Amino acid sequence: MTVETQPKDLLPLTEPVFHILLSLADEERHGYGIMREVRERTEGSIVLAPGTLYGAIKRLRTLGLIEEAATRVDPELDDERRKYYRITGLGERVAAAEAARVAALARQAALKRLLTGWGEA
Amino acid sequence: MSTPGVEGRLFGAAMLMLPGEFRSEYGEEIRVLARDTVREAQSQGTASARSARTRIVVDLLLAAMREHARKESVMHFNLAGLGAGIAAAIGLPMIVASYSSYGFWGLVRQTGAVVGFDSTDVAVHPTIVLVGALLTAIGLLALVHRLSAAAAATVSRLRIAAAVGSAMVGLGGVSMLSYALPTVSPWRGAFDLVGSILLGAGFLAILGVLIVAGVIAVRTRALGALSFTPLAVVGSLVLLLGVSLLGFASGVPMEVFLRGPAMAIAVWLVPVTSVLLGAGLALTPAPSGARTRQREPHPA
Repeated sequence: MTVETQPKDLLPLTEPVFHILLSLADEERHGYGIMREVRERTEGSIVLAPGTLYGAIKRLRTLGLIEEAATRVDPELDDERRKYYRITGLGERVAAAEAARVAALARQAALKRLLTGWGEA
Repeated sequence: MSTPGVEGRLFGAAMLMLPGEFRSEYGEEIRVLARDTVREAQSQGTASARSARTRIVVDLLLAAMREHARKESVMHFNLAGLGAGIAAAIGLPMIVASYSSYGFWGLVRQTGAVVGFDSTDVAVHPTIVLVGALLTAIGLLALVHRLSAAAAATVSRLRIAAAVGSAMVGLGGVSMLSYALPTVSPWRGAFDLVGSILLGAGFLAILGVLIVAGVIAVRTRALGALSFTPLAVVGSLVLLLGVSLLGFASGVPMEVFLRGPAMAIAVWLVPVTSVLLGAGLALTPAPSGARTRQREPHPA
């Protein structure tokens, strides 16, 4: 009997793992593409170095949260073929559950006036 | 990472520290990403490129530690392994020390005085070797039992070699009972000769088992992070043999040599490496029969 993995079983996520899932949420990317997207989105506060990035990619693949999409050439870079990764359905659910968890925490902090300007319309 | 010089070599060394499986799957991608990162940093100046290279190397070293730790998450304490581990930790060092260490015999004398046996009795040394051989056999068989990735025929041969080798060493020890015979007895010489042959051949068989099992263990990570320990025991035994031969060749009186620092270090390395091998057995469950605890995979 196979027990289906529930998103909440995999929470909380580490910061690199969450950012990789976010990065792949809108499109397939290769390692360098993920690294650049995360760096730009976080305005340089999160820079994933190769060891951390591929360690996280390996675990995400093992857990079935992302999968290898294809190996192809990135037209913006050189003519080298690169492996692309994409988020899976489970990966999307886990990322959403993590976002909800963090949002709930932020809401609690706002209620205690530790976080100003959050959750206001 | 197109980085000549120290940083390039450090990058290469850091890559080598990653687990082989991880490196073969992601090594090429890591190299490409590192190269792209450094190339991008170079456009902002030399200092930026150097900073990027350093950050990549440090991150790779940390990643190597993390990946090794995750890889060994199957290692955990188990009772059956503990018994075999204790046997492996004590057996071989006990035999080796009984032939090469004055300190060991000092301990035997003290134990004899406390427990109440005559440590000079002719049966003491054969008993020590016999018990040591039995413990060695248990330890070696437990080691071979953990080589689940090896071919069945290889495992069978290793089991036979471990049992026969240990038995030969034990019988070689028992042959020392011949010292109870009168010096003039022709049987004493015959026992000595047979005993020496049994001991020598038995040690070679044990060494052979440790070498083959050690290579398989390293290649298949059979003892997790401690897979190197069978070969470490081999190394310590070879060192001891080498130091002993040098001592014989140097012409230094045997008693002086045996009490010397070189011999002491060589003798002590055998129990140290054997204890590590014992720890490896105690922390690695047998492939079947033993209850295993599976940790839930988690991205964190």
